[in-house]
Amino acid sequence: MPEGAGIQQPDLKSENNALKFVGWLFFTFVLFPAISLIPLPVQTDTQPNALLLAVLIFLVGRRVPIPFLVWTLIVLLTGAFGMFLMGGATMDGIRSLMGYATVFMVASATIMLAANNIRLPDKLLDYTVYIWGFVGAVQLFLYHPFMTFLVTASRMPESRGVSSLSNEPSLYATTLVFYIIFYFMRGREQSLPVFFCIVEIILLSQSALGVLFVIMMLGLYALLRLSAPTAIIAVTALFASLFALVMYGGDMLSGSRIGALLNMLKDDPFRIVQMDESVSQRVASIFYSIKGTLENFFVPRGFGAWKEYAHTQDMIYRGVFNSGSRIDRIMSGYGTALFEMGWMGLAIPILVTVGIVKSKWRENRLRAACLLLVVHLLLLTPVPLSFPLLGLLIGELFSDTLARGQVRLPARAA
Amino acid sequence: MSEVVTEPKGPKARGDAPGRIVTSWRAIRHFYRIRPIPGVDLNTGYRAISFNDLLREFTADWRILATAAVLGLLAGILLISSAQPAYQATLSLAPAESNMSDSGGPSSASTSVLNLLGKASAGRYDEYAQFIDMTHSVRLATRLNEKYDLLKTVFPFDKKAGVFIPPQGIAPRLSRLLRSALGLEPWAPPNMVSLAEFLRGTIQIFDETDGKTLLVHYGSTPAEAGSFLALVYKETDDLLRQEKLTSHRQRLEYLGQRLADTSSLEQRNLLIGLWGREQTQMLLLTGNDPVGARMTDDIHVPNMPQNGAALTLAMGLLSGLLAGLLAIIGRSAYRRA
Repeated sequence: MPEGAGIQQPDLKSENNALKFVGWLFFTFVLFPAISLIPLPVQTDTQPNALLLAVLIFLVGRRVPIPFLVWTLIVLLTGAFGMFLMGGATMDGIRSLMGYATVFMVASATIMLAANNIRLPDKLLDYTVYIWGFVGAVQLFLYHPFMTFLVTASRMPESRGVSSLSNEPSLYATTLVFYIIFYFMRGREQSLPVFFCIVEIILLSQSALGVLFVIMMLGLYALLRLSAPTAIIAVTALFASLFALVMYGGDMLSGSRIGALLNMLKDDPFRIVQMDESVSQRVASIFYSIKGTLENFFVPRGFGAWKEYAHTQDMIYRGVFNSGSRIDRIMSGYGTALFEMGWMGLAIPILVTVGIVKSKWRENRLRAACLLLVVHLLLLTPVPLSFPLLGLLIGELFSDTLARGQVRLPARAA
Repeated sequence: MSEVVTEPKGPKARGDAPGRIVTSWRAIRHFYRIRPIPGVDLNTGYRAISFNDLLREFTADWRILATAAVLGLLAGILLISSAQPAYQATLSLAPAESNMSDSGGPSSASTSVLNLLGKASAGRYDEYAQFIDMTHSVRLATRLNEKYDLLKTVFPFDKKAGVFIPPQGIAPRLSRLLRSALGLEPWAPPNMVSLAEFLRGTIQIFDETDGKTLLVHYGSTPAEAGSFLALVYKETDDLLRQEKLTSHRQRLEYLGQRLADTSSLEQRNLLIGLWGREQTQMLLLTGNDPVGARMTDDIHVPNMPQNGAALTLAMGLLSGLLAGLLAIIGRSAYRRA
């Protein structure tokens, strides 16, 4: 570790066992975002446990320097607070505000802990993957409602995969994609837990979105790691298996949602957006939110404008998207930030980009570019801003820059 | 600790314009100079700052925050003063309670069955949905244009040359530029589809929880806002009525032809029954009963404009403050770099 990095602050000592324990607890809550411990008056997918601990860590470590770029998130949070007050303090507003608070607080807390040599332990990450897998496997093969009492709003239709300790199968898959990203950032993408993550996404969650990300990541990884001829063979094999899956998988997996989607893809690939309600909602959310942001010239729209805007857009694009059900919330991470907060929402994509470039670009440009692509695409999908793994990702990226000595911490006061 | 010395000095007494500009610039730089902050060492070269130090910087650089807030407020005032007053007209609609039905009206027995199945009012709601859809249809646009020449009122039109003019805002210009760059036709004169799009945009539709629908339109005067909404309602109602009348007339013609061709008494009785039903429907349609949707109240237009002045000012202030916060964070990073 370069000189100057990771030197403890007088008030935050890594020897402090209490802080270590809080840090460990914080990471646990971040890795299990849907576990409900505090009964809330409103049902939310993501629980505020990680946020509460992040606030505690932030208050304790307020003398620890945080990179300037991360402070732009406080501008976003202040703006969200102002929007919340101006919008008449609605329940939707509280939910959105919590999202912006989680991104900032969790990222700051992660950096503050990293400055005191408390990082997300590899073993905790490994065991987390195993626990998710174990619960998912029991739910799929033995007892469907297994451990769902720990999750407030568990939604597991019989025709889809299981949600393990998450709210729904696609969120389960999203969580695992985040884990794969963390492993990739640590250079441990060839480890057993990553293999488990992939198996869990495909077999247990059976999420179309998750499978799509797995295919993309495998393709990118083949291009990254293998020599040119081998990579060509690997990618061709991947495409061939995909083609076979689309042609014959629909009948093999008939009765499941993936089977229905594959059949739709086989019959008319372009109609999938119109035929499948879930796919339609996701694609429409991304499209409407970005369109709404551009139409408003990046001027913030606040927290109460989405339903009306989406309804108007539904009427315009009735033939393009499935308008069978309303899109009551923005099902896109970046879309939410940009639509609600306008120019301020740009802070999140910029921060993620700068974080990856600063921490990974020098090591390996290709790896950094692949990471950029996967993370940006992932954050376009329905990742709620209150999902603590997003804050952890930003925190980890900037903690890496701390460790590289690009951002140095002040030495202990004499 | 460091302080950038930017004392106002130089050509103070010069009376010429460049001299005054230089003096003013120096005064501004002096006002916004980097000041020493107690307890914060700026010469560390770190690209990071703690929360406590950031708070100190915010306090020390209050001038930037205040300036940004004032600028934000001024921008808000400018927006309010340059915006046209907007009066909000609202019209509440509910499904029309009529006995009309395109299918000729179900028999009492079938109505009972439909009631049991909960589908008795399905036709009425279809008509209602049809009415709401028609408020922004190309058919209504065509009718409004034929009767009121709406296209030339809504879109920029050069009366002397007799041609439509491309919109002159920054966004339309950029859009035209982009389209030209891509080799596409930069602009086309508006047609009925454009007018239907305008109707869709200018009349906002909100579904209420009690099954009613609220139509909202903004106008520069209360009379304009209210009359436009009334016009759209009247013409939609009339258009739907005319379409239904045409449909019933066509059925009557068909029934007339069948009656002339049929000699069987049983078939003739059935056709005469259907004929009578069609006649009843036409009679009901020629009355003043609303078709599809009825107004639950008169059009409501408050006598004060709804331009959201307070909200615009608050937004301006908030934007200014946030820009100020960003500026302080940026300046703090810059002086440590």
